[in-house]
Amino acid sequence: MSQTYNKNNHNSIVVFGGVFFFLSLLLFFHLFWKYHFLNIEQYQLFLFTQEYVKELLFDYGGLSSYLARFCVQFFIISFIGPALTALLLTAIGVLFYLSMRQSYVSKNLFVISFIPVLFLIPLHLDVNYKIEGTIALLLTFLCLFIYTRIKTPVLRILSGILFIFILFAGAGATVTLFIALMIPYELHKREKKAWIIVFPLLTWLISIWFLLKTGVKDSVTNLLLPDTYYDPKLHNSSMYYPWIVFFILFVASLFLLKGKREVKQSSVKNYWFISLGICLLFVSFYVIRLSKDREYYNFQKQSYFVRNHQWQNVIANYTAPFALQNRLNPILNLALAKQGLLGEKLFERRPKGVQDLLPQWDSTIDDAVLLSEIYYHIGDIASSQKMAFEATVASINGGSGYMLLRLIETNIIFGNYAVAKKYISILEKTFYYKSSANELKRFLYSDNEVEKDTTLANKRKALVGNGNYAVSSKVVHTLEQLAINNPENQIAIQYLAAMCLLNKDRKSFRHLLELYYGTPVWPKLSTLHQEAVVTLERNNPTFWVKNGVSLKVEQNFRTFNEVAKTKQHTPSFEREMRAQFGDTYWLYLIFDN
Amino acid sequence: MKNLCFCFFLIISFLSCSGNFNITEHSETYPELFPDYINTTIPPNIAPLNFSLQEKNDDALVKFEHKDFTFQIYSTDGTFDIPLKKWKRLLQVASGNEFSVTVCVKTDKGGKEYAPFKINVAREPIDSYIAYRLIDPGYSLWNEMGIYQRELSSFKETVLYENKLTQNNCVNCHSFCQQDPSQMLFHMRGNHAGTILIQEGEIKIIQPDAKKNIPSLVYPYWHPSGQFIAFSTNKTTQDFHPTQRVEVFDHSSDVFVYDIKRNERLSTPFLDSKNNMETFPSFSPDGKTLYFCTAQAQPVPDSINRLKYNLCSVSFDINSRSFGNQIDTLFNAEKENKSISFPRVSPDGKYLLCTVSGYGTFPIWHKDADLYLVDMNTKQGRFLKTFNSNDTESYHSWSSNSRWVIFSSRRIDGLYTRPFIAYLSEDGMEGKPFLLPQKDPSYYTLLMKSFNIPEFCTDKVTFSQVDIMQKVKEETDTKFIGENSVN
Repeated sequence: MSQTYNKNNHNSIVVFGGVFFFLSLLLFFHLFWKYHFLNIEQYQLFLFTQEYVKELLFDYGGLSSYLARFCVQFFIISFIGPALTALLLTAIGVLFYLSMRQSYVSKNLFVISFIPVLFLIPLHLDVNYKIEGTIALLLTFLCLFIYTRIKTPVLRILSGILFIFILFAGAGATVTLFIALMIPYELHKREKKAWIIVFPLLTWLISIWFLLKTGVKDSVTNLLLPDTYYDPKLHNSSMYYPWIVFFILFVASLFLLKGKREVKQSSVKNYWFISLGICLLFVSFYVIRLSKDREYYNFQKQSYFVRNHQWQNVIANYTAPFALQNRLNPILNLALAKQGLLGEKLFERRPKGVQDLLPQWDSTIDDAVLLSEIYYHIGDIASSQKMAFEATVASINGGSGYMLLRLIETNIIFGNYAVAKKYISILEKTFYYKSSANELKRFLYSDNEVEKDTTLANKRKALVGNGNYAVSSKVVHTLEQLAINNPENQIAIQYLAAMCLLNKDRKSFRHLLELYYGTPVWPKLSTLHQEAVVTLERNNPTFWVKNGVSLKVEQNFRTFNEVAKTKQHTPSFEREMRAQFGDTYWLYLIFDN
Repeated sequence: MKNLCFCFFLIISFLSCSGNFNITEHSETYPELFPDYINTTIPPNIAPLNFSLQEKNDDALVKFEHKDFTFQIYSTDGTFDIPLKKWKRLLQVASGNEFSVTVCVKTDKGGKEYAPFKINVAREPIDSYIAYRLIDPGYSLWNEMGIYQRELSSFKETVLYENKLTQNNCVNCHSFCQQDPSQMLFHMRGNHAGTILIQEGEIKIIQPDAKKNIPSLVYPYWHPSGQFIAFSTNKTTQDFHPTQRVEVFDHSSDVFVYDIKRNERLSTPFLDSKNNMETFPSFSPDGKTLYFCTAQAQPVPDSINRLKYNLCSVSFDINSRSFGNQIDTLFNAEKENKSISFPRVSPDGKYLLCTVSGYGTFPIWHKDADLYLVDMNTKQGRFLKTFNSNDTESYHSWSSNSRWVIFSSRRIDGLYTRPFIAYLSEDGMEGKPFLLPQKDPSYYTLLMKSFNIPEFCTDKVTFSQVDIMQKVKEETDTKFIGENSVN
């Protein structure tokens, strides 16, 4: 009767505790990190092909890689990323609890066993962390759970040897953790034949030697340590924390807490402990929320809006960046250009220069994706294609479905149908991009279909006069050509004029004005353009009127001059001018480098 | 009784498959296949030419016929996986002759039989292996790349070296001494820069040596004796160009011969000129002549269109380790208004094969790049019409018996280079090239890498990539020396 009671009690702890942890984590991820999960799908390409299965499964730790990529492909659907991640982490906690429970039974153990999982949460919010690390842990604790359930020592050791092989092949480096947990477990058991632990150890060592000798991995670090599950070019010491805490708690459950086996605790104490656990969970959430890089998260959020053409959301969600100016400002300016507001609001946020329009590529996948987007919307298809290709190559997980889609579009625009067809065939093997790829199929080898499609036709139209393959190193020239070829796309002329303003290149601005103002290429001057016109001939109102300067801008300029004259010798000159005219071209011209 | 039932079941199964093909329609045209193996010339020791039908078909049948030996394969998805044993037997009986291939597809009315096509089987075998690098046909970035070998009579591919062992550095320009797998080299760039030389079962690293005037090495070619290697040393830049997707050009380049035993640089002013750029060295099969490409230096990238490389040669004496005093010009670039790359003399010394494009030194990005054959007796050259396509043909190498050429071509999709193999008879007759067969014909469609520098070798390369990695890590500086990657 007592046993039945304990079993029921234990089951309800697992069910209620697990569900509570899962739901808390799910909400935390969804409410605060939704766009992170939506974004990380962009860094991989998962194919439903036999070759893909072989390529991943036959590699070191292949099963976890395959399962991780399989899961991540669904992250593009809102809620799935947080849900799957929360489920994985909950499962690890439960399995760890069940493994520890073999030697130490206490209701509080459930709370304790989730402590190491808390150290995994920040890793899942790090774009450089590979989710296979968590899946590998799941496989490891599954093996550990089965291992600790086996009563017969010889059978247990034999299964341990089998698990070492399974984990080497299926999980990778977490086999180290398995060994690290298995040894103290056997020592704790104090079996007569404890020496047989030598066999799994030997298996482990021989496997390491074999894997190094055959070049599966180039170093012990990449073979046995948590770094395997992080971007190979980077190092993050917090990768080690979960493993260390798992180890400490497991050993503690074996040796330090063994005297408390089957201790009956009062319900008051239990409630305290559960409350403490819940507090710990929410404090962890709070600390993680504070400590993680929100600016990068903002970038992920803005990238999502760009991908989905939510330009108003980009503008509304813009927050002044600190470290990611070269990414967040160009995104904002693209959104402004798409809304026709670049010539109105370019200077609202103290731009640093032309890098606020087109940043220098820093060889990262993030930057490559961003630049591919900007170039695509401007109409510079060759540059967009180049950056999409670079993003595909830069991915450490076999490519990027979204960028492959961009490669299809750009190649269709160029009329390079054969290679577009190849990329379509690849995307047809994916879950999410399959339908988009199929939709693009109708354009293959059919210039008529391309001409019927407004977006593709306009972009193709803009290419006249440029080499089809050309990525120009002269951006200004390209923008001018794009603006002439397709006046309907006003983004090119907006960018061109903005470049002149940001470069304080009044000579080129005048040249553009003389050539294109009043033509379909540049039918209307925005406020900032008018402000620039005024600076071309500061004392020539006739010139201003002739070139479309409004009365409002003219009056503003007079006010600007008057205030400048009055305040120019005061110590607060710049501050006061910024307060009053911070969003004008005139202020940028005078004060900003 | 059980066996009888089983046989009966097999017969019924066979009849139900083949019996459905009641041919009701005979087509005058060939079926559309990928890869296109129609009327190609193949060696008698090549892997099965698995293919798929381009037309969407559920059920299809292919019949292979040569005199008394025939067999057929049934497919439910239009892709044919030819059994190795039957294929080998077919090639054996048809060697020096041809066999016929007939494709039938199931239609609503019954079955359609396409016009049968021929595949010629040459008598001369092809070398057992090829080696190639798999790389992204990218602009400036690379990630994972590696050098691999493939057994030509099967689909077995093995790794020679993968850059994941050395922090994803660039590995390039693998080269064998006369298709000999025991004498090989390739370069490593980045943190472990150096040239990996494998000879006499040993791995050596050649590193730039300012004292001995040995710079970073680029395009290699082994002397047939195995004692020397001709190298070019190029200051290469990658840039963009109004018409090419990517343009790669040299600011300067020279050619010299490296004495392996003495670790010395041998040169002559002809190969080391400041006014001219010399590149792509290669030796004649007897080792007495060094061929190279040379162009008058031009301001680049502005005048890159005027950069036209001649094909020249100079004599080389192995005993005195010296060069001749006279330069011969085999192809005058200015006169022809073309530019030469990758001159390679056939092992029998009869032909020289090279790549010809409009200008420059990096034909892989030039759609006009084609293969050009020079008869070494008459010194007359011609474009290989059967080998060439509307797209790029670039790097090439000869088999050890001089009858087979493997070359890289972008004809399939205009971007990803693929290895094509072609037959050239002793009297210069060209066979239609065929794409290196793969177990699954969709391999090339799904592969996002280019085949780079396909080279024949007569046997399997047996050294271990781990040994190379360890040697490299022991001997090279960990500091970054500088990237000079060429595709």
